[in-house]
Amino acid sequence: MKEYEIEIDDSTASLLDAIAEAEDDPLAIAALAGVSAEEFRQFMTECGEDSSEAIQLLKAAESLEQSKLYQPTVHKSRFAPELIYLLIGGGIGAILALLFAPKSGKELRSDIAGVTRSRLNTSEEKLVDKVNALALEAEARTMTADWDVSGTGAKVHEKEKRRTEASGGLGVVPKLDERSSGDF
Amino acid sequence: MSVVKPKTLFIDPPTLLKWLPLEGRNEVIFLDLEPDFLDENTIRIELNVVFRPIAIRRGKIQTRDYYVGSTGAHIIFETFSGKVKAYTPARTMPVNYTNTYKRRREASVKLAAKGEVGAAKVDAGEIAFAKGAERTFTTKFSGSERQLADVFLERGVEWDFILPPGQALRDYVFGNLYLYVESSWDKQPKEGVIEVRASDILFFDSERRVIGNGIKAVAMRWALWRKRINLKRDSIIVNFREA
Repeated sequence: MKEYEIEIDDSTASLLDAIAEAEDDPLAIAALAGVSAEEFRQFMTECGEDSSEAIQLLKAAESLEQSKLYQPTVHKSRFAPELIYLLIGGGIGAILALLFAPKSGKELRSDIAGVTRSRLNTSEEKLVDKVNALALEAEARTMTADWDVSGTGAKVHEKEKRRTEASGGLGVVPKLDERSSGDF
Repeated sequence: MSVVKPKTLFIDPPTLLKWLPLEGRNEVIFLDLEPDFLDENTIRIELNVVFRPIAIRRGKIQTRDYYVGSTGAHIIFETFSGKVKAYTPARTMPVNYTNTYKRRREASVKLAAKGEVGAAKVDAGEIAFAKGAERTFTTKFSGSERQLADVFLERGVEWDFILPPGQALRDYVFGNLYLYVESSWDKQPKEGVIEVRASDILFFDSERRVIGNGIKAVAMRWALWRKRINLKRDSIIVNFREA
């Protein structure tokens, strides 16, 4: 007698594979197969199925529904279309990016590296110039400060000289140049 | 010279394999039969129980297939107010069993269909069996060892065609099993009922190894049923009645 064949789609084949590889537990199998008690009773009637195994599966489905652990397949797959749309959108975006990209990824990476390198070199040069300028300015200020200190010393000496001479003092005050720098 | 009018046996409903259209053969077990009248009161019926797995294929690229089949069957023959005189006795059938027997027909008989199978229209033509013709009946199936057990009920007989007890290996039966039964009636009408039911419907891999337990098989049939693929486990019940 000729073999009778039934062809199934991929989603049905995947479900059959999952059931075949599942644990031998009625609750797990009922949850995996998305068995709803009401529909399953209809299946039993239509297919003439009244075996103890079918009754076990029916009870497992009822138990899952009562314990609220069971989520009907309709609700489980609510996010599936959105996820699919997201993936499709992502795919379209990637394709458009490839189509409209002016350069290849290798070229782009090379360009970015070149620009970064040139910017770093420019920054380094500016930093060296700035440091040199600051060094010169600091030197100039040091010299100015020395001049200011010398001027202040002469003024103080002149003031003290006048004060001493006015008070009938102690003799002649030596000239500023005659003092050693260590005494000041 | 008198012409003997052939006897006619009505079958209702006409669900014998010979009358089923190809698209209606989505079952794993079928029944066919051939009647003969041994004398005015006795009918001999050769029952042919046909086992045939269904291949579940997933397209042409992937080759992993499933097979849906049965490991055995339960057969009931029952007369209405008749008595069973002889029948196929219990026996053990070894691996890949083959058995052939021949017999010459005692009478010309017509097998006629009566009734309809649901809404389906069947090709219910009459089938004639000529007197004196020699018929060969071969029981042949591939599979592991099986046992045929019988229960005599006087008005009827029941057979169980099963795997030997304690056998772990389970494979589907692919082939056919011939059984005969001779029964007589003291009064008209000569009538009775035949019922054939698959012991189970299980899923097997491409190497005929059973997949999981019975619960998995029911869940897998449920998954197919939701895709409008209906693998029934209904009994085949036919009534017979002499015209």
